[in-house]
Amino acid sequence: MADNTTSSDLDEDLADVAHHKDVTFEPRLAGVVAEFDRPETLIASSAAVRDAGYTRWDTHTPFPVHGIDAAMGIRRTILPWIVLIGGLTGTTIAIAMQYYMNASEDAEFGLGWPFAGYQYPISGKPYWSLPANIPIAFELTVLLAAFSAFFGMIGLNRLFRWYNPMFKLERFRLVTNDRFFLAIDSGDPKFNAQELPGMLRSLGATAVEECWDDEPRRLPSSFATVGLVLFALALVPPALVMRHRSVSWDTPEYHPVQDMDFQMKFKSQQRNPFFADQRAMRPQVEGTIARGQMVGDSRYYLGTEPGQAMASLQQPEANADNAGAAGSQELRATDQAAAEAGQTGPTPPAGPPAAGMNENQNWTDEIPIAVDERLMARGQQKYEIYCAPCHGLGGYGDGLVNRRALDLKAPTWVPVPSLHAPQTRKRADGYIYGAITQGVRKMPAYGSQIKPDDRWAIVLYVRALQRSQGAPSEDAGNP
Amino acid sequence: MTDPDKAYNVIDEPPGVRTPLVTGRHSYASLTDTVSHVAEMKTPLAWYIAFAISVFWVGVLGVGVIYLISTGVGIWGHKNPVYWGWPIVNFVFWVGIGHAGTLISAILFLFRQNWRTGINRFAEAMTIFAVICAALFPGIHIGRVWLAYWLAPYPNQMAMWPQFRSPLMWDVFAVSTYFTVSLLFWYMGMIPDLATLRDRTKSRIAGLAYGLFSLGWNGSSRQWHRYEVAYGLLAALAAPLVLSVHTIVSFDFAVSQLPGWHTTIFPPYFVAGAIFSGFAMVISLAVPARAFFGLKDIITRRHLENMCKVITATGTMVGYAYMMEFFIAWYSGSPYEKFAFINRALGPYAWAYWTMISCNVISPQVFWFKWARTTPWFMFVVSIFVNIGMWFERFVITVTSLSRDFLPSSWDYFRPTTWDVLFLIGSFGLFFTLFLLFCRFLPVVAIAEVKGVMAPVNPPEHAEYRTQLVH
Ligand code: HEC
Repeated sequence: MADNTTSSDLDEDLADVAHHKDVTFEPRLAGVVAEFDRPETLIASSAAVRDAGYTRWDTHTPFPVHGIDAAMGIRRTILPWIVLIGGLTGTTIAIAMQYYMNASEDAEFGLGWPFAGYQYPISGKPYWSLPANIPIAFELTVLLAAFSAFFGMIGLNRLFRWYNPMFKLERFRLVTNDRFFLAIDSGDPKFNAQELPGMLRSLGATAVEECWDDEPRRLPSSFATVGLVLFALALVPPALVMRHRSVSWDTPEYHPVQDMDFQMKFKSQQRNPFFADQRAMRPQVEGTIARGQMVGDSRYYLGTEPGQAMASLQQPEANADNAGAAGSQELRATDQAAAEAGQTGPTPPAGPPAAGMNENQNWTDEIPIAVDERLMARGQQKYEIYCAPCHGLGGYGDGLVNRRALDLKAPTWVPVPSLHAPQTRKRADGYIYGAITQGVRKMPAYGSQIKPDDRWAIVLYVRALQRSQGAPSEDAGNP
Repeated sequence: MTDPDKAYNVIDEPPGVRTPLVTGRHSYASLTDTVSHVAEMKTPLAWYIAFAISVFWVGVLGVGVIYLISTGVGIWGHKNPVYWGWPIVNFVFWVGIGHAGTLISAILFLFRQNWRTGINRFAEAMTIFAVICAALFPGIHIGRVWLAYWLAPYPNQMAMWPQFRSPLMWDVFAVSTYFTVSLLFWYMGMIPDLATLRDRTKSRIAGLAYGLFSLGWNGSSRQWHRYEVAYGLLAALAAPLVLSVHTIVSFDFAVSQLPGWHTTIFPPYFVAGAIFSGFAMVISLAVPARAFFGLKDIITRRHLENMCKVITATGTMVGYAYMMEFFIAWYSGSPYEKFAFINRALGPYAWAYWTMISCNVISPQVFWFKWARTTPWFMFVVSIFVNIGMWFERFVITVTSLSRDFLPSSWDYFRPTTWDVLFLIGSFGLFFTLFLLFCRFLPVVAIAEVKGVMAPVNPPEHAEYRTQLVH
């Protein structure tokens, strides 16, 4: 374009553009472009241009001309290395991802924080079995390698630059059809606009043109403003979503998709006109005994002699369940009181009992199930699981939990008493059973976790422990 | 103008000399003209008619999808014990079709099979559209479509992660990777040709669109260098990828414990079948398209002949796999396996099984005859048979095994509903809509690549190029 435009035309054009876009700039000679009609001539000319010492130049062809790389001295691209790195990244991400999401919680494999992720038990398969993780590792390797190849090529080739002053030459449009071009940039140290055309013609160029760049170098200033406004607007939707998610709403949730949120059924507090009393939740049929509430044999289930008023004890397990929750507030209150009064030491704090059993009952003093060695072994096992953490393996109240709590000087902690204390030794078997079942003062209930048989087994073991410590001398001679 | 099919008389081709890849005395410029003409000419009436029909079926598909989502997968023929019915059959069918495109563009490229240049753009486009059709089916088959994003491994408040030991999860990764890589490969191959269209067009809008997507391509040799390296690398990546995709699709079946599915032959057998069906689809598309758009010089009979050979080879492999399945069923000594295969060939679905055998195993054998593999209309007919046969293959595998499982009390005969049929036709509508758009607006042949392997008549010195190609 620059070549056959007279200078006055050009000036007019420029004035025009400058007027509209309000930008001042100078047209600039971008380089010289020579056209060839055969790839062979282009290869030969490239070798000549290269030998002449030019450095900033290029050839343009409709298809990759083989042999031109060597003639021009194009160095091999680093693209394969980029692709290699991309591929390896893919493998690593895939393996790490699958490990983290499916297999890393377990101590056996886990690397600990922050690598402790999740574990996915599926039909007893091993959590981490590499063969099952290979397909995805392979796919991600290929995916990331392909991205690197594609975007690496785009990046290295600067293909995100749509503009090139050569596109203004009518002739250059044939570069994607059947012509071959050699372009020397005006920035080349040896560039000489006067001599180059002659030289290129002598190499066999069918035409030589100057290429002028007459576009402004800078973006119009409005671009920045518009860009900023668009950017700010783009932030609005995410901000709205974030707000929506973080604010609490008193209107019901909007339900575009029903999932299974609304079902044709009655909930417990609803009215059900079908029944005479209209209660959706039906009372139990007379005489029903819920699971775990069978307390007919009070010796076995409660540890008390029969005939005792059992009103408050009808549901030992439910009581036990509630002890933690319901008692906890009272607990705190009494503990504070105790702490203020400066009371520490093995004596139980004053005040109403926080939870647990009514201590003054008609406790039974015999174990209502058959006592044998197996029961003793079972008792030891259960004692070591449930009681030893606080009461210690020997029953002296030196369990790990207790020691740690004392070390920390935890203000709400009541030191665990020794099971060998004289008053405890004197307690009835049923008392110890009751302590396990319903908890005693500050000690929580274990009735919900330990079955009655096992509770009795523990009682037996505690008795044995007590007898083993400070045993009377007549025991010693009797193996 | 003489019919290029007649001018190139394959039967008389002297031994040891191959006919050129581009016939009809083309120069670079006339080749550019021929291909660009397809995108530049005034839209022919026939195109409008074909497009209207295709879009109509896309509409039916759309209505079907809305009905499905609002009502549930019960609109299909799925019921106990066949819960994988037509949608999965269609999925496997379409994914398989896609494979030929990648095979042509990647594997033949790596083997330096230059004849691929005439058909690769075409076949790659087919791949992408087929994978789109394929991806549709599992997408809507999952039931609660709006939760499809649960397939993605993203941190969420439910602490819920994908189960990576499931082949269905592998499938999600395989198919989406396959689609992405195919798209990149296709688009990258198209950049120089989009630049050609950019430089030729007179229309402003077309110029803008082609200009935008050709990314300022100016044919620089330094760019070509990196471009070719990237292209080779993508081909090297796509080749194992395409093999992995149908392997993983076959794992959906093979990793389960159903007799008739639980076989180790599935991966290679599925891949062979995929290439088989894909090449058939390329022929079904290329034969009419080359006649309609005047591309007979570029997609020559030699191309068609080569594809027929591939069809016979892969068809025979598939036949071998069918035989092998029976052998292993007998050899395994497992009564369930034996039953599954006898039931396939002689049970209630025997009609489907024998349709499959005649279309897939018998029909491609006609290509042993030179006449059959050089006569376009005839190979078109055979390719349709192959397509039908391959659809039935997937149907036979999916439905026969499920309908008669371990528990005879739950056996049942699967019947598709009208919606099943409409979804299948609709997916063809989608495929052809996309394909027609491609033919109308994009370079249907890889112009730059063909130029690299052709022997242009002008300048004349290039005549010896042809002899070079022979060796
Ligand atoms: C969480 C620590 C802890 C565990 C575990 C524990 N205890 Fe206790 N236990 C205590 C504390 C503390 C007391 C004293 C409660 C108080 O006086 O408020 C106590 C008191 C007792 C008493 C009452 C002593 C008495 O003379 O009144 C008995 C009996 C007893 N525990 C038995 C057991 C048995 C049996 C187990 C195993 C099932 C067990 N404990 C598990 C902390 C524990």
